[in-house]
Amino acid sequence: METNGSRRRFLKSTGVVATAGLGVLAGCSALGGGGDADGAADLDVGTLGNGEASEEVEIDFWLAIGAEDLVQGIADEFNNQSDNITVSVSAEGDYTEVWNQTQQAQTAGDPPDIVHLNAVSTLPAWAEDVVIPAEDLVGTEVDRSSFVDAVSGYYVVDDTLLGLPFGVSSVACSYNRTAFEEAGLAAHPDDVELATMDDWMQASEAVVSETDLEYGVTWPEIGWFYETYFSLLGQNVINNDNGRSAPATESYFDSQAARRVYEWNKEMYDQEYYQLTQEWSDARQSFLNQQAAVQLDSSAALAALSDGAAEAGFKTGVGQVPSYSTDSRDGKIIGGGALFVPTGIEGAELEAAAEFMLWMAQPEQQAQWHMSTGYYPARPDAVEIAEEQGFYEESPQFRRAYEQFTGRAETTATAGAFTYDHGELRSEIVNGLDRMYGGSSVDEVLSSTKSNIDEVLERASSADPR
Amino acid sequence: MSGANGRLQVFTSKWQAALLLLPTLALITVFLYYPFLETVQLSFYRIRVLGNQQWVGLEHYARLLESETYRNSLVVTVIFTVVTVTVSLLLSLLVSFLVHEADSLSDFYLIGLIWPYAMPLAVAGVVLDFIINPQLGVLTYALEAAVGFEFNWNTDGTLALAAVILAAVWQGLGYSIIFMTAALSQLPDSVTEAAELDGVSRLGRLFRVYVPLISPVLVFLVVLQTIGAFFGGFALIDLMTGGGPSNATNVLMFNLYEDAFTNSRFGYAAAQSVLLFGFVAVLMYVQLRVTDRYAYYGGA
Repeated sequence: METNGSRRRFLKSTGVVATAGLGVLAGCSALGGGGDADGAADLDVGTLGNGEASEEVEIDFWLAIGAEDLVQGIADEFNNQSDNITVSVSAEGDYTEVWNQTQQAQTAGDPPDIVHLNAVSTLPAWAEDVVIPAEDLVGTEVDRSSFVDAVSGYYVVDDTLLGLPFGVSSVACSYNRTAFEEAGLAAHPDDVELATMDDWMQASEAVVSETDLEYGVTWPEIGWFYETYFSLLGQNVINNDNGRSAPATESYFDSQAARRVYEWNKEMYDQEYYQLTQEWSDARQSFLNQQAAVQLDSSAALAALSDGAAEAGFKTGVGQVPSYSTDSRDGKIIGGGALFVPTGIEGAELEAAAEFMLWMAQPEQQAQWHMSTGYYPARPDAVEIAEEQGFYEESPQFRRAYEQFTGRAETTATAGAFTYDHGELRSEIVNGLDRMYGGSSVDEVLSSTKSNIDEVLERASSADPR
Repeated sequence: MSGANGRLQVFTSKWQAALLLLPTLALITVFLYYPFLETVQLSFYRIRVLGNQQWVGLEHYARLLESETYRNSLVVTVIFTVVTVTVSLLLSLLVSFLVHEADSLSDFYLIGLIWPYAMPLAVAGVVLDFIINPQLGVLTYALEAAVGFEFNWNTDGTLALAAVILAAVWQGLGYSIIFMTAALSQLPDSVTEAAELDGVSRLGRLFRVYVPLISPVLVFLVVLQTIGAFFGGFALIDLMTGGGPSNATNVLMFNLYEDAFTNSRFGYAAAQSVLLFGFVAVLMYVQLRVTDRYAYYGGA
């Protein structure tokens, strides 16, 4: 990438004269927990968008998904262009660790300038004033309509953009093309039939009976997959518009959609078509060891899976996450995380953090990140850049996954559930599945999962300031 | 130097003694007592994000008393502790006895036995998982092929708890063996000779002669292993089962961790921490009182 050229583009696209007021920051405490959000009052905002801060400043960026060198590489380009801002990136463990360490650093009075948090931390981070909403930070400098709908669908709450999406993913399906051919199934990604639950059942049956593979499919026991099944079926997980119009008070595990998903899942398990795996790595290992022919994973793992398969001597393709029928296919929910600036950051540091966030939101950086990792870019124009550079000719699977992700109905179901204790909701899904695999009936599992999640929601709604 | 009560007195000045104790006391205060008091204080607050706290009084304790998950964790912890400590100590005793009786290569055996203890729990968990993972484990695969029995502790809670206990026993064996072989080697040969002359069987010699003689060491190990089982096992459970399936291996310590660091309920977790401390304190008191009666410390 030419440094000067991209700098100019950057300046042009963000507008040299900033109109956004960092001064509105003070407003972000309206929802108020106890965070200190008045740090921005002393900011001179007239220069936002020029990639510079009012004085020389170093800012820390805590990253949650590894890839430290890669992100530092992107940050270094920014550093080279900026005369007085230096961004240093450090990988601080997984999302949970970054979330906890951010709070600890904040309590100690020394928070990092930018943190990478999981989507599910968005509500507590906002409600408890842990972070400054992105909207208040970069204002109209980032045009929300430039984001893919799935992204704005999740991160825009009360008409406010809360975080700057970074490392966006969805559930994606990889299948063993070689095994499909051997089983006599349509194997080319354009023809492969994995769109419905019945397709999955039939493909599994063929694989198990016609090949040496022991199982048809596998996916790790992760709540997010089940929320994706719900969204594909157009079913909200929780009430009040999936918790978006008001804190949810009830879950929909007694719905027809839930029953369809769980009955199918149990049948797949009982027939030994579905291999139960616990962790992400277990499912990957099973797929790469050719125990199961189809695997669900994060789209971010697509590249690693196809590389691993090539090493193991088989070809892969990108299939589809199943819905009930081809007519009812609403779309997939978002996964991954977003960048936030913690409250307590002020002065030149805040200015520098805003500048860097703006830079990261540009299509060039989004495209670079997308092409190096497989995470989706937050905006479609980044895909055009990847297209121009011939990325999809080499890696068509990314294109396919991205199109599946963006080609969807924009409903509250596909926007994804929004609740204060989303992690606990997901744990209860997993606990229920454990009971099902341990022998409980679908009826028992759905009703206990519903009542357990409803309890979680009751506590969550008391913490939710909306 | 002898004091009036016949005790050996090294320091004549109490101030001098206090000064020398000061560094230790300071460390204990800063790293043990202060955090403990702070934990007690935190347990009375609702803290969903560090720094934002609301006073809730005894609400967390009340909720814990009512919580089914918490009761389940208590039961799981008690089972985990009782089985782990009993099996671990019995096995250690038998193995230590065999090593003690071995005519040659006893050092070699000892090193081999202590080795697992030198392994961090996290590593032990990964190794064990590699061996007995229901889908991918090398041993489970061979076992299932040989006997046809499905050893799936991903779905069977009892098996999952058994797997975690097995890992804990295996990993902790070395520690007890070090102490037991040391205690056994301190016993005078005359005891063994006398027992042999009296025609005491081999096992009889172990349980009727040696065990009473090394009972102080056993008491020490029972107490220490119990504390270890109540507070420990976290790494194994985190890596092997994640507390599942359906909370079957969700010991108190793991539940506490999940509530604090995964669910961000710091006040609620602090209350669990205080209760856990209480359980262990009471248990230690009872255990020491009871086992002391059976321990032989020499003399008449």
